[in-house]
Amino acid sequence: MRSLAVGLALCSLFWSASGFAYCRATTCDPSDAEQHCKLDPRTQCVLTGTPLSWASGCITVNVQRDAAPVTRISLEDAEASVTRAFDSWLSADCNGARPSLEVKLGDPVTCDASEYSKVHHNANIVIFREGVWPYVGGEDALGITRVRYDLEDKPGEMWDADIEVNAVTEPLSVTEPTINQVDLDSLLTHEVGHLLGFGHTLDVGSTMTAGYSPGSIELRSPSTDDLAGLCAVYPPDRKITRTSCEPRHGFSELCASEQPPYVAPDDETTVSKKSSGCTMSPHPGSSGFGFIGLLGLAALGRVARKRR
Amino acid sequence: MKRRSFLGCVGAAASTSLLTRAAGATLLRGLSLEELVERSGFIVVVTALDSQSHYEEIGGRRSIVTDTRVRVEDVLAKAEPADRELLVRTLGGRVGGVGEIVHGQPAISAASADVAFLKLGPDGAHWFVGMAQGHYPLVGQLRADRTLVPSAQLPEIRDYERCAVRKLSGLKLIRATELLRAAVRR
Repeated sequence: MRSLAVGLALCSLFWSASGFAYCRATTCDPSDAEQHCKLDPRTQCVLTGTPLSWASGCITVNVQRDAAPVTRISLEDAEASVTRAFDSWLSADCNGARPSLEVKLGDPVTCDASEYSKVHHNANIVIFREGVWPYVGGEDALGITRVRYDLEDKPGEMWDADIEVNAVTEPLSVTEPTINQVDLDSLLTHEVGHLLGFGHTLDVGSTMTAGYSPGSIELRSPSTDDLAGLCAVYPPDRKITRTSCEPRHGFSELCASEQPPYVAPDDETTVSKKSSGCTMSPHPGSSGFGFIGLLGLAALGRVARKRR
Repeated sequence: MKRRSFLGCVGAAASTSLLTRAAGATLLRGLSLEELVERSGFIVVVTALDSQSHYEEIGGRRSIVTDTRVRVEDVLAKAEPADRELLVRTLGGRVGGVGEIVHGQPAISAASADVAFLKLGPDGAHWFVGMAQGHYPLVGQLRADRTLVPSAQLPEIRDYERCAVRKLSGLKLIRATELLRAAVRR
């Protein structure tokens, strides 16, 4: 059994070397020289470390409440774009079934910090930066995704991920972009790939386009190769040990500094029985019922709250 | 340049710079060579000595960063650093059982020398300009053969056709240095 597990792990790790161009992010961070990460010479995929993935069958993503008012991107537009980005990935056809990962759109959050706390509630958020883009040298990034994961108990288990959209310097479009605009759907579709556990790749054998041209919408759809990667990481028959959609330590719309410290319940390590709306599992032919359906439920809930 | 060398150079540039549409790549606006040079305080060849991750306040929030101490081997253009050792900071790292990856950061190798386009941040550390666009590992053992290749993990780049990565990838270090100094003079 042990050798089978090792074999499967190796298969998974070297999947990209077998003809696919996608790369999985791993616990080995190539930006740290001391980790001596080994890279595939063809794809530049990281070959060392444990591949990252979400252990649960469901995660929740929240959008920053005020979205991007200066850029005139409303919360509704932002949520719709986020929804389309996730749906473009999660509607993948994995040999007649859907990937074993559901994404729930949660309530909007007031916190605008990309952070993870070991002692507070957390949230996977999409943030729009309009005032200051705080990354020195990264001023030209249209978006940044930060992924946090376990290094000790369950190495590679993703705990938290946030997407930051640069609305400071980049003209964003939520409809059909003009020649100089950045297509928000394209940007988010790519960042969502990171949030799902994928890294970058250089693959000379690929027929895929070399870059993103202003005004282009071609990146809205993950490639066949990308989706093959998704099906490999989240196969329909994946053994899921956790079903809760809640972020690690539970959800809060507040930043860590505004919360009281988190006290872990005794049974936190057990499988959560309190599914928060994620009991439905995607089936072939039910495209659009996944994330879009959940968005609809969230919208209904919001309308109901407003009416109260 | 002999035809064979020229074709080799073009081939190397093409083979090393053709980027796939990466899975979920961080999207960067491509910097032209002139922009990359203009924004850099130092354009140097460095080798990594050691690195350390810790929390640092960025934009008012605690973030994991990795500080890599590098030795400056050569100054290609712009100012000469006051010290032969610099502290280069990148986003992400490992602290207390938590790992954090920020895609688009340069993949610094301990085994090779790298061309680094750096700027000094308000935190006193040096940062790569344009993230991985400002980082080019050198391949080739002999000094005359050293060639720039794109940073591993280079993210998706907007305006790729006009960007510095395309111009510099596959160039011999000597030729790249000429281009950089010409860009400084402009």
